[in-house]
Amino acid sequence: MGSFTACDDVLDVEPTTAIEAEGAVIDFTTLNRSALGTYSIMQSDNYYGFRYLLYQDVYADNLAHTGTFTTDREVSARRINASNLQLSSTWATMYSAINRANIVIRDADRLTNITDEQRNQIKGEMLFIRGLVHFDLVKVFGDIPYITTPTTTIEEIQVLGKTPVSQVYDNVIADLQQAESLLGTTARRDPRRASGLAAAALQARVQLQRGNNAQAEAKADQVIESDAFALVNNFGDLYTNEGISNVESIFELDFTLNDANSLGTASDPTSAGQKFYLRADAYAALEASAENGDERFEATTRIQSSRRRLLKYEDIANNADNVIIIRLAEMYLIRAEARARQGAAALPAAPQVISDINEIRERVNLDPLLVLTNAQALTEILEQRRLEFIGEGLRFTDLKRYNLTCEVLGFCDEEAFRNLWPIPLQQIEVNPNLAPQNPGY
Amino acid sequence: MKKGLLLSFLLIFVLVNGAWAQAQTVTGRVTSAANGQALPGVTVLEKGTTNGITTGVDGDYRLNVQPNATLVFRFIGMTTQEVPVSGRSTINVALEADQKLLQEVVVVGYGTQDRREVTGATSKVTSETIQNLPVVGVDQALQGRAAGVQISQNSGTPGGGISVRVRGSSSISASNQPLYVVDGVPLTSGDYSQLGYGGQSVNAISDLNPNDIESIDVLKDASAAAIYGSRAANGVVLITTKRGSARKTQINFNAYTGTQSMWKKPDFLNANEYSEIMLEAYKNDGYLPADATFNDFLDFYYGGVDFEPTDTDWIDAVTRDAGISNYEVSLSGGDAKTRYYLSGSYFDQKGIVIGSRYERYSSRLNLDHQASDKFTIGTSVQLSRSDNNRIVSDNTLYGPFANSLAASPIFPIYYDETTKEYTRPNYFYTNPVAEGTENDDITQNLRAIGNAFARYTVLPGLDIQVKGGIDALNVDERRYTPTNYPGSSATSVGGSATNATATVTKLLLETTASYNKTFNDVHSISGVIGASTEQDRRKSAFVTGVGFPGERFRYVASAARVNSGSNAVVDNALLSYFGRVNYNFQDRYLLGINFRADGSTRFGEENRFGYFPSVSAGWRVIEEDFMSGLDFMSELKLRASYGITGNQGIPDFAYQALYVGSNYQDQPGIGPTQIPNPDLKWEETQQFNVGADLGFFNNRLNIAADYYIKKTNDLLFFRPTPTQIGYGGYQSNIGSVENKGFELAINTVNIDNRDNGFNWTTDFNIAFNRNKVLELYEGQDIFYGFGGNSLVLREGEPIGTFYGFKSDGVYSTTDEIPSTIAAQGTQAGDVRFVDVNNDGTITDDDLTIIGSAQPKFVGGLTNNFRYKGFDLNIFLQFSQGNDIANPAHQYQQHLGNDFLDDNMLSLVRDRWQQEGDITDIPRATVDDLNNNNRSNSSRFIYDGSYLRVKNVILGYSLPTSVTERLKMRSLRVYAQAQNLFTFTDYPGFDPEVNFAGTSNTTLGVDFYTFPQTRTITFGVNVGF
Repeated sequence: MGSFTACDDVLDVEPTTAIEAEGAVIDFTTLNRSALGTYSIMQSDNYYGFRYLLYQDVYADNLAHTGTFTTDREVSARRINASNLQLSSTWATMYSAINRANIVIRDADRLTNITDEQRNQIKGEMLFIRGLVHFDLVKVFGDIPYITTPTTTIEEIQVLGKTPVSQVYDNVIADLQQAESLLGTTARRDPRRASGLAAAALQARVQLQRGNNAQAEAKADQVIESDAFALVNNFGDLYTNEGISNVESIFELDFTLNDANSLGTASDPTSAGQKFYLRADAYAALEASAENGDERFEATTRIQSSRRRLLKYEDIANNADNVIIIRLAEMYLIRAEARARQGAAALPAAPQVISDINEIRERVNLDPLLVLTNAQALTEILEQRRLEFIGEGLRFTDLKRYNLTCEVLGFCDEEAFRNLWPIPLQQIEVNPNLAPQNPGY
Repeated sequence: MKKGLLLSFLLIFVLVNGAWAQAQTVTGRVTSAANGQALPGVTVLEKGTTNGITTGVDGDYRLNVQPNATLVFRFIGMTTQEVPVSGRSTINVALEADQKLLQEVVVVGYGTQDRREVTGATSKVTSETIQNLPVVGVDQALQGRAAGVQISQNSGTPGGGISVRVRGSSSISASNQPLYVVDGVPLTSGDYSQLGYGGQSVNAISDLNPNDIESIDVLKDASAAAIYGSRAANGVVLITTKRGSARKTQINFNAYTGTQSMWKKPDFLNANEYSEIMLEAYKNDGYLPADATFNDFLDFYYGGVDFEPTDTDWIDAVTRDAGISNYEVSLSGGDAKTRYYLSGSYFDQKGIVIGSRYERYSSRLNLDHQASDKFTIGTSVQLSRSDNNRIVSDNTLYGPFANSLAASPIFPIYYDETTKEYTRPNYFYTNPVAEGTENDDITQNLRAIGNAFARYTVLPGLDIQVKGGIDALNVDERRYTPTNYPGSSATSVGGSATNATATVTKLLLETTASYNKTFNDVHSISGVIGASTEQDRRKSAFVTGVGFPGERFRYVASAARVNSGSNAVVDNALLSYFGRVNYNFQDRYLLGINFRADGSTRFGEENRFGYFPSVSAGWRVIEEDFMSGLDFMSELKLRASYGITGNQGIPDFAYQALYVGSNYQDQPGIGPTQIPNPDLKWEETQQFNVGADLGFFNNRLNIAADYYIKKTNDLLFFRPTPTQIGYGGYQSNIGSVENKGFELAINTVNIDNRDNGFNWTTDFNIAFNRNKVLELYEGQDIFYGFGGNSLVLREGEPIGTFYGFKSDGVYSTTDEIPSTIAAQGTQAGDVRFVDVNNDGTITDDDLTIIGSAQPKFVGGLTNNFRYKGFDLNIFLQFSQGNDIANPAHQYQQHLGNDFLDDNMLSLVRDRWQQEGDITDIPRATVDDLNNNNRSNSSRFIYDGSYLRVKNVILGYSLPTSVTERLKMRSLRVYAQAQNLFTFTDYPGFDPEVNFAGTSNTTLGVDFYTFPQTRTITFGVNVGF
């Protein structure tokens, strides 16, 4: 009777919106798609698609949150609790990107039906991403696990402990150097995917943050002198030109109508929800500079419905603005800062320092500066970085590098621990090897 | 091929049937033995044939039969009689009432049993109880009627999801809703909406018309439910629809109409009070000088306003008295061979919040045909359509009701009454009237539920049945959001329209063989074995377009950009083998064994089949000789059972390693999504039940009592991993939950006075369930809810445990504040949070358990009175000891906090204002350094106990003398009130609430939830 109604093959049901992992990556085409899947993770709202990116300004003095979410409120008030679920989600998303990169690297090594050139390209891009994400983690969380092996099965689950900051930096630099050599630096590539020059540019940023000024100078110099990039004449065009047509862009994440971020909505006063507007002080700084002719004010912010809206991601209809992660202007300011830091504070800054600063000033219609001491140059560089990169995710690390978080953000003495974010509480519970928690939390 | 065989078999049968010869005529009259009255509609059948007729109005019949035939007289409620013709031409018969049939018949899995033979724990609710109630769905109608079945309506949303818990919550991640089976076919339940509507879900059960239901049997313990195996852990609700019987056609017409209104209107501040408090807050914190006026506040906060401040009652603006009505007609009847039930109905419920309405059109045809006395076929088909105008509910920025509570009273609804240009009366939220008026949110369900069966009696007592069933649900949703009000979610895109459709089909094919036999008059055996396959398919698709030329263009066809769309299919299937055997010795010793094996596509390769056995035993002590002297007792039965049931309500394909699409640069990318777990399996519930059924005074007092221990192991659990591996965890079977409890049901006939016709009966039920999480992954707490930690799953505590800070009033004076606390910014007038760990400061380390959503007991009490033509039914329902968390009070009592401009509950009038004030309401402050308004504090936890006069019905049936003149069989008129009175200390709108709808673990949380209504209806029942 059983055979009347029942045959075992009714239980053979396959998913239709997913495929089994076995056999998913078998050739260059599927390997490349898997690499695109790694970029896709970086687009998450938890990371460059929204919150991680904006938090670099929100936790500093550029942007402030308005709304009802306690997670956002804690960041805006610079009173983050270890239980903050947004940080937990952001941490998870960032490591998910790292895991995907590691899986693609392993698959690239395993596949025998691809050329070395193809293998190098994919591995180089994934090493760039692995370095970038680990750097993004270390700069806010301090000691973090540096993950270089993929997890795809229960057996592969690891509970690694924290890697010390200096070791993380060494690993980041190693990954980026390898990415640079695998990808090559001969020509400019589409900035929507990682390139050798992007790896070099990121090294400049990492070395500067680490205090390796000579190396930072050298890498920034390498990128500038490659002549692959040029400053965009009209500052506002930076945020409307996308991809290869944006000559200043070194690496950016591509967002489209079909693959949107949440950045436009995040500062749009006409819609409801959690909003991020310029802090009064940041607005005032831009406005004051505009009185000297600075074009960045109009391209960066506008008062709308009595809110100080950020305009760099203005596409509220589609939320398809690309997010520029590294661009040439930063290389000028890194080279200038690295050089100034190598000189004595009270002595006049080298002419190259001043000319690099003026590249940035003159592009936005500010008068060139003529004479500065190294100390004044550093102050000027920080100010230019603020005006230039507001909303682009650099402010908090800038203030840390300048040791100004006490003065500007109030992280003095007993509050100094807030220079690092807490390791997400749940993560320490699940993986006790992550203990101890960052001090103070 | 095999189906073909069956058909030809059937054909031969019909041919053989036609070959019978006929020889003589018999006439006669059938009467009732009790009163001698004629019985129309009695089936008179020549035994062993399909030759038969029903008696006429005077009980007369005439039939041609073989001379040696035996006549069978059957009538519902009467003992069947067999009379040999023996050559006679006139046979008059008097039928006796069937004492056995007066016994309640209980529907169990794949069959029925007499109540006295039942050894499991089941509850039955019949059509009389649920008919004419002004409710959408059968689950609502069950509320408070069955012991141990806790039903919560969660909100007043028409057609909204209902939480049903049979003996508590047994799962954390898988479903906690019971399995619904309609006429033997499992029903698709749940929410298949693809659009977000805040917390309240829709409910596929509501497509079923409750008035088509004959009875509902709830299988509560494992012995009753185990035959449904991997879906039975949350109990099984067996629904039997009405069928025709062999009698003259009866036509019933039922109609009611009435109105619903808010039973309690929340008390909010008026504009003057609101202005005073806002100004006070901004002065207190130095944002405004001491001599500032409200206009200064408006300038400071809004940069000035472009309207004349007024005093708007926003709740009035979005609520209304709303109509509810239902019309239905049914026909039932038949003859010896063919019986039918046919019904059609229209139900219409407007919501009390503007923009909401639920309408349902349904029809049902149930048909049975006896092809021969060995072969029966039948079918049940329901077709329905429901149109649901939905509104975005709670926990959202766009809900009309939620926004009406938040809107500032100083704003008018429109800038200008004539142009109807909307204001935006809150900084964060949009205009509630606009949200309820301007959007389209229309869900249309098309539903076909049907089955067909053929049953063949192989031998006396041995039946084989084949049944095919289908449940097809199409959910078509359309949403349009215009831009003609400020803050609309579609402002930035220029209007947005979405059409989403989901088609959910379930196909069932089952074969069963059942056997009933009594040996030597003392050994009675009954059993059923069977096999079934069930295939479910969920297809979904949606398309969204944005950029509309204007509000008159509301469909995707007019969109400037069709910017997103998707479609997907998900299949799952069950392959099952099952059986049941019951043994009964002299009606005294009862034994039952159930078994099911379920193969499911959801289980990992290592665990394809789950096995679910149960055993139960009963001892009818009343049948023992030593009971013979105890005449006052009419029933005494002891029952015990033990068994295993499962829960396969886990995600599809969770055991596999999968890659999904993960795109970049508008190019197709792929990425892995989950860690595979080939060992993944069902949740397993072991349940032990002991019970007793007692009857006294010829069953005028019946008591059923049950005690159970229900332990669920191998909980489906997203086992957390360090997210540094790239995943948050993987699906696995870890942990356990226990429900222990006691249930009592008492039914009494208090007065049954045949002389004056006064009759009073009472049904009472009460259930005490204790829910406890026994084991979690490595004993780790799981925090969730608002702020991520307002609820906790913790070993030893029940599901639905509230977590947060304990508050203890308000500091009256500065001197009262400990210096270490004052150092944190606390001032007089701030909330006194309890320093649980005594370290002198209030930190996350002071978080503790502050309440539980689990009631100590729930139940219902029904009193029925009848006197002459009048009937009165009063139904009370109660829940005791449960807490409700209302985190929305952080906004509704914000007192200026965090630059909110929401309106506030009027209780903030009693706020602390100056040194020495003694009150529980803190001071007005913008900066709120003490964080008075943290949402997870015991300040916003309330006692949610309630006693509700859920339903009162007063009816009058016109005497037969009148109805006969009106050419009617019966005529009854009635008035009905639902939620007439509610006794509760809960200061929110309604104590029966959950913003998270039918969530498993978020219970008893009120967050701007659409309240239930008081409904008054008037109706008529007419029979022809």
